[in-house]
Amino acid sequence: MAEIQRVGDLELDQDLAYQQREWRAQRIGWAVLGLLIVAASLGLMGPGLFNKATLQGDGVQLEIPRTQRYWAPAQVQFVLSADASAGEHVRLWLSQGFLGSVQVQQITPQPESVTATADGQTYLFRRAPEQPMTVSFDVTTQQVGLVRGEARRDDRPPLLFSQFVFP
Amino acid sequence: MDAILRAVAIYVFMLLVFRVAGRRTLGQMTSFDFVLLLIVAEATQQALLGEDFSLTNAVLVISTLIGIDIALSVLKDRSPRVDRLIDGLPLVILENGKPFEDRMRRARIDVSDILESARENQRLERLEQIKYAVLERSGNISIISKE
Repeated sequence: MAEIQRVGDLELDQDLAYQQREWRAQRIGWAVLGLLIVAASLGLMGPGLFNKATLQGDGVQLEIPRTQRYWAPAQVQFVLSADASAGEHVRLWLSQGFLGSVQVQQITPQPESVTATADGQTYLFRRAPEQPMTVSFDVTTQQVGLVRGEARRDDRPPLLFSQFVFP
Repeated sequence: MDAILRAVAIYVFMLLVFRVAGRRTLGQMTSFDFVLLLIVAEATQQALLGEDFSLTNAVLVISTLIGIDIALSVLKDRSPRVDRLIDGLPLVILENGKPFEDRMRRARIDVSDILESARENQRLERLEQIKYAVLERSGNISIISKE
């Protein structure tokens, strides 16, 4: 049995040096908690001030959260630029790398059709060619870590994007 | 596997966060502390179970938490260092009626906390009647009165 210290008439396991270290560690812990709250408020760990990223591709602009949390709802928005020379339909292709990491809850507007390809899915939308069009995907993240994806409008070059999902 | 990882992660985080919060957070339950505990429990439950509300998942989570608790208690028993790391050490905060101001300030205790404990536990009226006041590992203040 370890020897019990004596403090005056008390037999007590007091260790002031250790106590000082513990208080110092506590203060550091408080600072870490504070930083965590600030980081979360700024959108570094999910929805917050600086969380949204806007990426520009060929005929498509993507607004996506830079970071997200596991099984949390999110919205990914595509703005398809006006193209008077195009027909009444526009195709938006999303890679399996992204679609496999989320559960799509809703697409606004509803696509006319969805076609599976070898490496993703193609969504066909009806649109007015002279006006830009916004397509929103309401999703729930299902994969932790770095998620990479691609998006492509019609046959144009793909837009690469990524986000980090916290557990 | 997911259930076990969640349980371990939450247990370790709760252990760390309550150690960082300090002993007085747990030792003295006011209405505010009670409400906080209820909310923390609710937030923790969601993280522990995720979307899986099966009996099996609940059994796994509970088993993991109890298992960690047993493992830690064995470890604490064998290692005084681990014991003090997890539970801390008692601290004398008053001796012969004289409070140790610096220790009390750092432990976020004031004289009224000591007097309250003295009244509740020993029916004492004044500081000078107290021989020792010790901030225990649980966050409670134990009082040794003068004869």
